Amino acid sequence: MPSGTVHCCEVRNLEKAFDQTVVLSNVNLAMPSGSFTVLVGASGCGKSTLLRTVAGLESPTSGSIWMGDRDVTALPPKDRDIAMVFQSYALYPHLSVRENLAFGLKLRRTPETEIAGRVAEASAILGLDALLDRLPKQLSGGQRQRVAMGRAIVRRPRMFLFDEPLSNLDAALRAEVRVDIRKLHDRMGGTTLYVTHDQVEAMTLADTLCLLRAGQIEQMGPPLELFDRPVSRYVAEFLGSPKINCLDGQLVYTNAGPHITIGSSTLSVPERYRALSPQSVVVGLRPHHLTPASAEAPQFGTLLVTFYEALGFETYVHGTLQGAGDKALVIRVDSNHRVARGDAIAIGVRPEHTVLFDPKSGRALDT
Amino acid sequence: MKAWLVSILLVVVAFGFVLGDCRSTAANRIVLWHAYRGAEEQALLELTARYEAQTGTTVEVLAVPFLAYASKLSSAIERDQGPDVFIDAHERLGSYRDDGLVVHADAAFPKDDNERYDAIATKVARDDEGVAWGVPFALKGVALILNTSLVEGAPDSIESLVKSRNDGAYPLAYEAESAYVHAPWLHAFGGSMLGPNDAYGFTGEPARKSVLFARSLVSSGLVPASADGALVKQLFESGKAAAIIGGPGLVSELPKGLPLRVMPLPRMHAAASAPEPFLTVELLFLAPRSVARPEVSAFARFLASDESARTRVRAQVVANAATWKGAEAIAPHLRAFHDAALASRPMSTRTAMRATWEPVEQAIRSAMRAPNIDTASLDAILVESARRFESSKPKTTSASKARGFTAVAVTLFAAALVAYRSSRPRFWSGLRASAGAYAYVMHAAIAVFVLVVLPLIAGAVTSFFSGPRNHMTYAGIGNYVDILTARGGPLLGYGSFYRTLLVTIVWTIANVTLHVTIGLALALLLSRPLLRLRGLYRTLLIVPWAVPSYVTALAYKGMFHQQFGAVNALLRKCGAEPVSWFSHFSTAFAANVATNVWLGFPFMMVVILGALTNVPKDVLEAADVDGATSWQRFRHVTLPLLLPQLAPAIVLGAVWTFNMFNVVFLVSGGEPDNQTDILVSEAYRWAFTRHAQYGYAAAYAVLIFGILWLTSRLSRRWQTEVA
Repeated sequence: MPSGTVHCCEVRNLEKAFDQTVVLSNVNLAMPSGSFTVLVGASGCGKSTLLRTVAGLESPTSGSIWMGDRDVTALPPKDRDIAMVFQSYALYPHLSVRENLAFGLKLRRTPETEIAGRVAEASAILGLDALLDRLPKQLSGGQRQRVAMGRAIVRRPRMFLFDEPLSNLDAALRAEVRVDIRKLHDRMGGTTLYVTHDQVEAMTLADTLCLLRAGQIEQMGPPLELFDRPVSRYVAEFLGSPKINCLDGQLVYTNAGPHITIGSSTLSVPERYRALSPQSVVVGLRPHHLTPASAEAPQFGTLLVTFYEALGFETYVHGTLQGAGDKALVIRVDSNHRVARGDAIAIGVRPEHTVLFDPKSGRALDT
Repeated sequence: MKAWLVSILLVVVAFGFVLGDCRSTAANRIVLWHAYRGAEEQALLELTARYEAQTGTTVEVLAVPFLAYASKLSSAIERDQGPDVFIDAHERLGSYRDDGLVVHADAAFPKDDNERYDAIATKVARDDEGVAWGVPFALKGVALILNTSLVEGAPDSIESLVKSRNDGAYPLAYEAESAYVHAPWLHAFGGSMLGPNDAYGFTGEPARKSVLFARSLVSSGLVPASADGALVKQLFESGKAAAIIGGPGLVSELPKGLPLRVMPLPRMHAAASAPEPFLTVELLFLAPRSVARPEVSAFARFLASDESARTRVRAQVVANAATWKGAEAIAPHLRAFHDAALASRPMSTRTAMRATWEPVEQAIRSAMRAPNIDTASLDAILVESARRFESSKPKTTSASKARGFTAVAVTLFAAALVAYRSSRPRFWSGLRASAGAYAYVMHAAIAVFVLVVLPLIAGAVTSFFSGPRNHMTYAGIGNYVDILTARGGPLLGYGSFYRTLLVTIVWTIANVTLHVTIGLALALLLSRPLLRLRGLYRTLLIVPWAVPSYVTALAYKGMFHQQFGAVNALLRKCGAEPVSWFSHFSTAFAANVATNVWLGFPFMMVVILGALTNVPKDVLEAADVDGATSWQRFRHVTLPLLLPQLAPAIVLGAVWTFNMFNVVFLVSGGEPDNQTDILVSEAYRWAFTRHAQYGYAAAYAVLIFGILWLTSRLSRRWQTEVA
């Protein structure tokens, strides 16, 4: 029996190996009822395997999976009270939309009237009413995706599992469905475990974001915590677009107190790093934190512009940091800020936005 | 382009030479056909070589396989490419005379030579007017062959032979259900298979007594039941039978060291006369193109001369009387066969004789296999066999009736054509539009036309004629009317089209169901990714497919033999009663189905294995998550997704099974009593055993074609539906 709070689903000390290849190790994950947990990570990090293990489609090498106060590790998917939306949607090609929705209920011998009611409800929520008698091959990608979600919600399971459900949609649709999924989650009140490699989905959907790296949980917590206080350079680089700027620097103590020097540029050290001894560091500076120098963001260097991307609502400026070799840097400026190649921009940053990592281990230095 | 033309010209010229060579009959060239093998062929070649050396004549000798002999002979002689002289059994004389394949042989067999040959052979070679139709050559018949290490001396009767003690071996083994070997008993009781005026002879007291006599031999356990030729030989070789009934050919195939003695069949206490086996006299026949060629007659005389006989007697029972009186060192068993031949009854030369075998054997089988038999049931069997003989005779449809039906048929055909044209209004214009494309596939189109379309048309045309080959008369749709009205008998009676159709449909459904079920089960097992040695299993399971079907069919026939088959041996091991597989419809049908299932499941397995790889894995997982059990997942997801690829395979398998001649013909052979025959094997019987009614058989074939065509049309709709 688990101690303390009973979660909707809990993964304990999970290990999964295919032959000699270890795919997951020492994974512990607790999902409270009603939570929306997103598993994110690069390809091959084990996030899909973890989801499939929770679903019961893969069995773990060791460790256990609990649903409520039941150990479901040895149970087949059908006995876990879950529903899953597959990346390919996995609709039954020979069944109409209506039959696809009703399939799971029919297998459970739900009364016909109740099936009809639940299918009608789901199709109303998802706007499938006009499509009920079509076959999957007669639907567009977005429509299929909605049917796949419908198939999950008619079952009213304790838990929803999503395996990269938006990766086959175009960008505009993806943004739209992303919002729908979160709304649906809030409306249905189930617990959701969601796998994606897309950081925008991860950031926007999650209550709890779980970043996996090589089969282990690198960091888990609210999305903004991961974004602002990454435990490692890996997490910092994974989240955020454009990627965080990482510059090699030195933490030095002078008469004026602690400083970070990057080439000839100098940065002041945020409060939380003041206890550190002088050492080499990796300085993480997010592009949107780097702005033209101002009172709040005192100048620490000059950017020589080599290239810029004007997106209309903002502009990403690529350049090199003067006096720091050829250190490439990306900063974000307002779109009304005109730049041209060859410009020299004085850039600054608010001290508290600086994060430091150990150059060898890549761990954050603020612990 | 020029090289092209030259090579085509060369081929044409070469072809012309070959053809010309075939057709030219050089004055000094004689063509001889025979079906001999082994020592008999050697002796014949020695003689022809000697003749060539003596006279300077060229003799071309061609050995033609026995089974193809008659058909090759008639087709070759019709095209004037056949032999000048050929050796064949005298009982074919009737049909050869009808077909004009033989001419008088008076020059080769003058009256002065009568004394030279055994009287029985002379009598056979001449007709009632004394005209010779062939030159007596050799005698073929059966005698009793004893294993002298098991039987001492010569038994004085069949009964005493059967009662003799011989170390647990069968006292006598013979093909008890073969009409040919049964005939001596029938003759001993005063019967004959074909009576005067082509009346059916296997009736009345003689038939009844002969059957009861044979039954008493088998039911006493002293003679093995349902033995075929191979089994008889095998029992004798292995010392499990003390005596067998067989001919000189059988003796020459036995191992050399076996201590044998051959003697004419001993008399029977039960009958007044001696048992007379059938005698076949091999004659030298002269083909029509030997007319006015005295050198051909001279050659025939040479082959049949006493001098040649002294060479031939080393290998066969020559028909020359003097040879046997002389002091030549003749193998004792051949001398015994000669003695037996002189006490035999020459087979009738009437064409109707051929149609007696099937009903007679059917009656013998029924009577031998019935658990109990009394006078009434035996009479019923004999009456039924007589009825079958009568019903297999060609019927003559009256011309006016046929003409009326033909008019109907032509009208129907025209209507069908119009309907077809109107359903495809663009058929001809479409054909014209793709004419250019046809130029590229012309070679294939021609091959298909010659190999498929022409035979189909020829077959369809044949179905409008009746009567035996060379004497076909136009019958309109008489054959079809006959078939579709069950020849006037009950609709589901013996041999009726509908009954056979019903059996065929049950046969097809049973087989295809089992093929698909077993194929599916094995494919599902083989597709499990965790199965070890998957490749090995797959290979082993495909093996039945790779073995030629007739080999498998013969192996299964052996396995289902009542006394010596593997299946009954297993049953006995398990303590169960052995089953007489081919005595009942259900068991014979089951044996056929078992064989065909063995042959057919690998195809379905391979098709399904392929189709299974196309079932998306995540859809199956979705079903798992949706709550499906393994069975529900299979039933509601896997199976529907397999169907589009399975459906064409099922249609194909059904067509193959519908026409699976090999298995039915070789395993049950239609037993019991043609009940397990399917439409194709029934058609075969009409063509080759029942008065050679090719037209009737062709009508069957056209009906089979029609049924399959209709079924495949209907199934196409089903196939598009599941796809």
